[in-house]
Amino acid sequence: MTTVGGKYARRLSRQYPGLFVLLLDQSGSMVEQVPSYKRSKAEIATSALNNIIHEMIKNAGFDDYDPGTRKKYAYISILGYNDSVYPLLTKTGEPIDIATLAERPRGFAPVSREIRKGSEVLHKTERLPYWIEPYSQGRTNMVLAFQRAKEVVQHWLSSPPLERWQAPHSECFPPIVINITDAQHNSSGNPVREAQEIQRLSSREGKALVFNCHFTRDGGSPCVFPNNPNEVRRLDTVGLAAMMYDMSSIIPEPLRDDASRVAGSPLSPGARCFAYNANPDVLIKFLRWGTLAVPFHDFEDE
Amino acid sequence: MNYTSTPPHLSLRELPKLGGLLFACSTVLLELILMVMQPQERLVEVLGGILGIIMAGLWFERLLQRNVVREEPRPLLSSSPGSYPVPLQPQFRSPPEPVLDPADTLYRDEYGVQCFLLAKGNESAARSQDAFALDKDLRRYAVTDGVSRSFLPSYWAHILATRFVRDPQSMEDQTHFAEWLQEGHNEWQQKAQQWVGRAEKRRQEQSLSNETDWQQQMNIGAQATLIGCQISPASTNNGTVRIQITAIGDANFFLMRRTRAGSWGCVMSYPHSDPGAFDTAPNALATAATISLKRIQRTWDWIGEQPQIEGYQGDYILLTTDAIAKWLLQQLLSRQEDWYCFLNPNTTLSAFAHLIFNERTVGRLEDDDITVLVVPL
Repeated sequence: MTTVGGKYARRLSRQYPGLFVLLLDQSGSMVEQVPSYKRSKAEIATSALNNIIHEMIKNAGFDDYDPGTRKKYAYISILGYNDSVYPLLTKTGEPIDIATLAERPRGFAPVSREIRKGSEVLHKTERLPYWIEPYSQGRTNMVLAFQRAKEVVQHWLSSPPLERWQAPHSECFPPIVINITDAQHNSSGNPVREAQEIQRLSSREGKALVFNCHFTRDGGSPCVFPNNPNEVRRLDTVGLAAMMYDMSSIIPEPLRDDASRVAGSPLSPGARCFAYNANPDVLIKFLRWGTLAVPFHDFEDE
Repeated sequence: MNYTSTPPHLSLRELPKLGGLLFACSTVLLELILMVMQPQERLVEVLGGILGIIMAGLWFERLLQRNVVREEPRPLLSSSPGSYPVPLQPQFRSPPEPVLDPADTLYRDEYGVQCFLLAKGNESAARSQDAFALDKDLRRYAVTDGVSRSFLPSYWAHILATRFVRDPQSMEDQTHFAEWLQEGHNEWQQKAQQWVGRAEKRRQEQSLSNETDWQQQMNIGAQATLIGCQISPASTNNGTVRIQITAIGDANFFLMRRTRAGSWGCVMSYPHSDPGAFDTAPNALATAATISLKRIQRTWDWIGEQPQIEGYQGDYILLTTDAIAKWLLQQLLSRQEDWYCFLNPNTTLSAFAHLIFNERTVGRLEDDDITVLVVPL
């Protein structure tokens, strides 16, 4: 199968909000340091997620008629997983809107950024909000994570609009589930089946999309948006890459051009929403693509 | 100059000249009759003479109307034969029920000008980022569309529309334009600062921990597209009017005229006449354009040519925002007549909303703020 039906045309807006379910691997292996960054994988992944939430908030724009509030164009649920699955933003795991997230960060932390001006590299430290904190312990129960994500997606699609002006969720851009992990699934069950279950759920715009980002501390060169299973099978000996390839959605045709821009070369039909051996740079690029480029199509990377 | 919705009729202007000639002829004729007739017969003949003068005047009027060369709508954009706009009777496959808000209003004035305004989705029109304005005396009209992703675009859209219709010199040359834009920017800045004040007050009252660099937001500023026009008497003084069009971005102008066959067609659409020409990032008037001469120059270049066209009595000008403009061009190309209801003075806002919701539901119309300003000539 190399194509996915669906228009995927409805961009996110206040009237047609989107749902993002982010699954963050918080198993024990995430404690490993990434030498080139001198930080643990957990810290890098958490920082990338906080960064993305912040970018999504900035992208939301302000409501002209409600001073200070952002437009609720997206709802986010972040689930951490190791031996169990637990919500990281709210107690219940209910998706929370961008406007509320903007007003209620967990705290603020100094974040240093590199700014390149020609050949000159400047370091700028900003005080940025954060919503989740790094954590790592236990095994990697990916099956449980996808099961919980499926419940969140199902509930979203069947529940009535949360505000008077919103259209039914079934008319919105389909939910997007993004899984960030560093290791192979090492609990019982079949994560491929669970991920494919999610991809069977749909709105009128298309089927829910599952993105997988395999994040490493060193590893080989990244493989982004592969479209050939044989190409993926060569990546590791234990079959983890092939499993994650099968777990990932095919990039719908209306979104392929944007993905090609991110990949830097034209993608063939059948390319998957999947990055393997992603380094921290690829991770942030992948997240930005999944949360800003895909649901907006015309989003310009800064 | 006071606004008149009906420009002076062609025949009324010409009649004084014709009437003078006819009156001179008939006076000579009557004098000859009076010399040879009795008083009772004279009265009958005088009345008959007056009637004759009126009949001759009317005959000349029709002759004149026939001789005026009117530009027929281009076949590409003309609709199929139809009648004068009738009250809308929408035909729905599955009628959606628009919920109208008390703020959803239909502007309609004594000159037949009307404006339909609906917000995207199920929003109240009060939340629309479109705006319209008109000056009846100056005969200037404008529709603006705030760019959603900019900062406080609805304020900017209102300011631009209002200032465009109030200032006839605003688009005369680059110098006037720069001053006009700067004054608008100043007004927007004042409103934006008030908004920021309210936002900060709310943040403190609710102990919210978010922090926003408001100065950065002010620098990013607002953007809006604009379509405007100025109506003035034509130099030929034959009752036609001259319409000058100003456009920045993809809000669109239409001049509609009835064809000889009785249908309605489009004489001119500007800047777009192709439904495929609407893109997601049109040029726009930005508050940030005032920060440098280079940016002002670039924006002035975007305005470019401000085309002029002649309009006749019975024509309609439509100023619309992008989504409905695209839909209207598709209607014209496929010879549909749903849009005729825009011209009808009896179309209710509810009927208009039904049409819009239906077209959105079937996917022919993008779900966006909708503004249609209709000006009869």
